[in-house]
Amino acid sequence: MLPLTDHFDGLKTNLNPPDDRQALAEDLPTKVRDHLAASAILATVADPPVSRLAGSYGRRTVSGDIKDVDTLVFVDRSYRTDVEGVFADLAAALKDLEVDGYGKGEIKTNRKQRRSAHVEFKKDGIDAFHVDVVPVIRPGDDPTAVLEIPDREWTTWVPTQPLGYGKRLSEVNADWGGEVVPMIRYFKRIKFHNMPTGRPKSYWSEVMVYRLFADGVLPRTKPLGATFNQAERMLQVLRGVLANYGQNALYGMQPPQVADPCLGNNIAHAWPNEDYLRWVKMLRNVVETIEAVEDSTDRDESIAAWQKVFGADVFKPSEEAVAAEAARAKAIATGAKIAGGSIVPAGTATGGLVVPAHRAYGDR
Amino acid sequence: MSRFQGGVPVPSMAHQDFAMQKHRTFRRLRKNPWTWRGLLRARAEGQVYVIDIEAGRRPGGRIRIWCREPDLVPLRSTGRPPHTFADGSLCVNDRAPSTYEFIADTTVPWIYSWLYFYERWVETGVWYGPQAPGHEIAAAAPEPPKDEPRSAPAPAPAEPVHDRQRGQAA
Repeated sequence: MLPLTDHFDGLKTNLNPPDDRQALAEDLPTKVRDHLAASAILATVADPPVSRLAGSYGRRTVSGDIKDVDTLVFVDRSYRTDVEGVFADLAAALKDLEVDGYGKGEIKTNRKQRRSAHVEFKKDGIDAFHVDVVPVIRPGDDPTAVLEIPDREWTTWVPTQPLGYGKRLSEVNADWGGEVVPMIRYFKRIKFHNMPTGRPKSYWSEVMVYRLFADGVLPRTKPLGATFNQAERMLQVLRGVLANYGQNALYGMQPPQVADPCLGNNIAHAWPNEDYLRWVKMLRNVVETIEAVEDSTDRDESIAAWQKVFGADVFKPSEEAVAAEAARAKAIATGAKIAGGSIVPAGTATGGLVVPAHRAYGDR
Repeated sequence: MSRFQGGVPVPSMAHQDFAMQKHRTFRRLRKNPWTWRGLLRARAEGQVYVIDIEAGRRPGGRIRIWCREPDLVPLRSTGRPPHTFADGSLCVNDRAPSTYEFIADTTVPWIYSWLYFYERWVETGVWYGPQAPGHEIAAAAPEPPKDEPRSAPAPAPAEPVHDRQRGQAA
């Protein structure tokens, strides 16, 4: 399959959230901490309060401009018997929370927030920015261990391990040479582009892809050790997800379980069957589209197929990156070295092995 | 054991083998003919290629280079990848290394270079690297580098591709 490297690299860039929103998200735990520190309403585990960025922004698995940012706040254990109380105190303490560029947020109480306090920030001409502040009880000192979060509906605290999953994902991603996170982001994009409404939730999609890598479902390399290009890997991921989670649709069964990466509970228990069947059909169509060009070396045909899958607005090369690579090619053509296991322009490496002048030959 | 030509020592195949150790990605596969296999990538975090270098039985033997994985993208006109011979082996230079030169210092860097320009050709249709006169890849493509490459004419436009074939080497 044609690698279309420039297009996939462009896709990766185009799926990044806007720089200002990522910066805002990363700055948020500090903002929340400082704001809560100024209030005596919420009893926290430490003073000043400890807060952490969680969710897809924390794991860098955002695909597109996601407007919800999850932040954890470690609250005092005295709330263990008072689920309603922790939400009431948190909402009161978050009043007047401000973030740069948006001003004061509005605490939303009419939205179904089972496990967090929701703050919405609005600004004229800009999409609203949402923050879910999740109160968390930390049984021990390790924030990546199993934590407890309140469930408003069940009026109890339930186990969760969001930071533990983030740590595992980082480890698996490193173990696979950085392949996992981009594939998660691409897969989320495919769902969003081809099925904008309905479940699975973004996090479920993420876990499905994570599982393929973590559980060793996918081959690491080709038989002799060559790596798969991004196009090949994407098709493997799509087929793997269909194999793991699409089978129930064939036999008239209810949607399958999607096991929490750390705790093993089914995170997709609320998956409507109608949505599930639509999702399987969508994935099958996507796989068929890609399989049609799997053995093709026709560049235009291949690009068209992938653009159908991802959207032509995001599956395109970055003009800046292509121009930079053309300049790099020009530099390498005039003098190069082998350094760090790859070829670089001669002027950019102090050490390395010089590539003697040569000219590609062979039949035309 | 080295032999001499004009008073200059010619590296033995054992010397060649020792020199190949500077490329940690290469391992010797066999001695008859001398063959090394390496896992190479042209750019950091890029695709890994499985490359075999076959160098004959004694110094000065014909060197052939094969890409065992992945399948390389062919030109429509020839049905095989650009800058390869009829048997599919890669042609990285218009001259072979002399018997005084180490394969590790010549052929291996040329392969890196070949792979880099091959990848750019797959992406853009243009062979940006140096090409022997008369052997340019015919193409209709994006803008080539404006400066003259080290020893070759400016890249010519490439043609669309249509078939796949395993790349091999010579």
